[in-house]
Amino acid sequence: MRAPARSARNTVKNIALLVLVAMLCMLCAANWVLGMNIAQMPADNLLRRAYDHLVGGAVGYELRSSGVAAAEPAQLALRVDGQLYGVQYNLTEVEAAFSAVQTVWEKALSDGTLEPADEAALTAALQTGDCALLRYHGRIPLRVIASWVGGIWTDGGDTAVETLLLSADAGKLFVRTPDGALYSAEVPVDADALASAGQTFRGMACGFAGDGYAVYPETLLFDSERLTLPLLDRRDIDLFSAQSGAGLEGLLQAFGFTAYTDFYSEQDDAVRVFVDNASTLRVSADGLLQYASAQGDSTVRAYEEGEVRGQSALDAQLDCARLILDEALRAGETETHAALYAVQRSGDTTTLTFMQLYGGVPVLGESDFASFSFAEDGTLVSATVQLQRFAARSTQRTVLPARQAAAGAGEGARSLMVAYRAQDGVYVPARYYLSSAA
Amino acid sequence: MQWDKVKNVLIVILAAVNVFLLANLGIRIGQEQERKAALEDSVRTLAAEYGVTIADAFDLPADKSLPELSIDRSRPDEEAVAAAMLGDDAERTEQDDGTVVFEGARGTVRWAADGRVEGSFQTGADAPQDGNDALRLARRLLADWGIPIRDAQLDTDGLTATLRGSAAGLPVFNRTLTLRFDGAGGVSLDGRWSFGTPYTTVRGSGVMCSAADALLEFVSRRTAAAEIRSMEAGYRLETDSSRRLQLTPTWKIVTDFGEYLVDCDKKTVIDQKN
Repeated sequence: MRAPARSARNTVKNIALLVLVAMLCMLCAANWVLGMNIAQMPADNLLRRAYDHLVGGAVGYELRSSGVAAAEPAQLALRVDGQLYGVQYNLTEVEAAFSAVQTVWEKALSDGTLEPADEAALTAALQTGDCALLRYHGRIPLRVIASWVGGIWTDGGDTAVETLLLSADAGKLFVRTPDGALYSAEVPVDADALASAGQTFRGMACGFAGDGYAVYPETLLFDSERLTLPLLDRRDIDLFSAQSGAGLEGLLQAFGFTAYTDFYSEQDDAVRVFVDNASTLRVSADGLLQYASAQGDSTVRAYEEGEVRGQSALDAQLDCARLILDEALRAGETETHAALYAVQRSGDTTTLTFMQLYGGVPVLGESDFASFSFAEDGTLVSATVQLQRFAARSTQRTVLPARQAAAGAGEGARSLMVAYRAQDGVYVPARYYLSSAA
Repeated sequence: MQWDKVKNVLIVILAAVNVFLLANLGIRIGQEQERKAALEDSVRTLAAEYGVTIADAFDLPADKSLPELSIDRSRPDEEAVAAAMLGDDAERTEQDDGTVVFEGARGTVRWAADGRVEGSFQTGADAPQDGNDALRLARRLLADWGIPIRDAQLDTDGLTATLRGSAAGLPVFNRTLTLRFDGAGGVSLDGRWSFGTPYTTVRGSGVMCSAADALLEFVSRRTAAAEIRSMEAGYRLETDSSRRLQLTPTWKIVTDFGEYLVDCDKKTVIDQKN
């Protein structure tokens, strides 16, 4: 009898030990979790997501590595069943058209190998078959555009591109760079997605320039084009007015300052300089923002050092710049929006340059609208934003149609662009020639 | 080796450590409860100094950190819903400000870039005679139009049905669709709606929603409200400077004078609904 009794007691002790160890683990975890500020954790943290499920926080939303595109295309076109339709320089039309063709581009920009291509192959591809075109103003890396449409492009992804043409017949993606070079890559073309896009895509009838003009053959020439835009007057901005209080506070927060940060005034309070231990923000009442920080010390970070690299780092830098620009545009109550123009790498610094658009039309000035420089460790090293506010006049001007502009293009004028430029204090829309060396 | 005794010692040690951790946990939770009660008392006192009373049943909500969310405008969804409302022959016109107007034989529907929708058209169904009829018809029509009501709340007041939407598991206070049946087979539609799953970016900022801060800011504005009855954290739908739809963390404060929305981040009183 003694052996069975001892065995039962031993079993009870073993069970008690197991229960106590399990309790110990749970109590340690509970104490640990209670001592943590889970609410301040980033949204991609698993513990944070679990906590939100338990305490009724926000759940069921998507986490994207990058937000919506930092730039909309200036022109889009789609040819299905032989008829080419396109949209251009209108934010709402471009967004609508882009949502129609996004799936097509998502599937096409899912990796390939870029190789130099000849103009004859492009011209042949333009003549027949279903195709889609995206055109941006600027020098945007191919991998960034691929990321915006939901695809992934690694080989030659840093190639700065201006125009992308997808040809279903050739099964190729043609890429035009700002310096005029042409590349192509074999890519998958989803015929069903193209047919589906053709049913929802709405635009004006147009055609490609082909080899009959001096401009690039993929230049879009619209039939009966009548692009009428208002003249713009520049309106004053006063970032320090009482009405701008909330906007200025948001702007300061975006740069890592608070409304209570010490500042000193210059030029009769036309300029306020906010300073902390690591960075300086110079805010002019008329909209000029200049930020500088000691590398590695800035409180504005796109990501924590070592957490991300490569494409994810660039996506995070773009998101960081966009969030700051959103706050800046909100503070300035401008009617414009920002679009990525170029990405430049110099040493371990990446500089993102943005241009501003009024209703989808670029507004060009003497200097860049906004630029942000990030160090490799994710800190914002410097930034400059020149906010401008515009008011549309009742006077409108019709821009020279692309077909006429293409016919008049001389040697070296390879592509066309519609933009606002200042003339005698008024911003006037016009069509400009861009040379291949632009 | 006497494992029996070793186990006894281990059991005693583990039990002691567990008791200590349990006590620590209890003290922390107790302190948190005390802090919350003290905070609620302070808020009641300060609100009273501004001439606002806080209802006895009021329970100060816990602070929350909510991400700012974005939603992509979906023209195909808008078009599909409009086609279901007006028929496939409805003509679509897009205006410069992004408003899309659908016109058909049954009536008209307008979708604006900021999610606002309004319209007036014939339903093709028998006109409802009372609230119950209106509720049944609204439920059927919304299902026919492809507007999900699973995570939304549908209420009626006479021949008016209101659908209140949610997103990311939380209410969106101004994401509503109001259907007013005219009793002759027609319905007018008014409100703000969005399609698709909201999203944020990995590095997207979260906003700390402090109930006490929002409440004190609200009472200090000296609105017409004399009593605060409840408050709830959620979102409001708005457009940002780049015309993107955004869900902004917001408190809804219910008072004797109506409902007020207070921005979690800026603490500004946004809107009032009686």
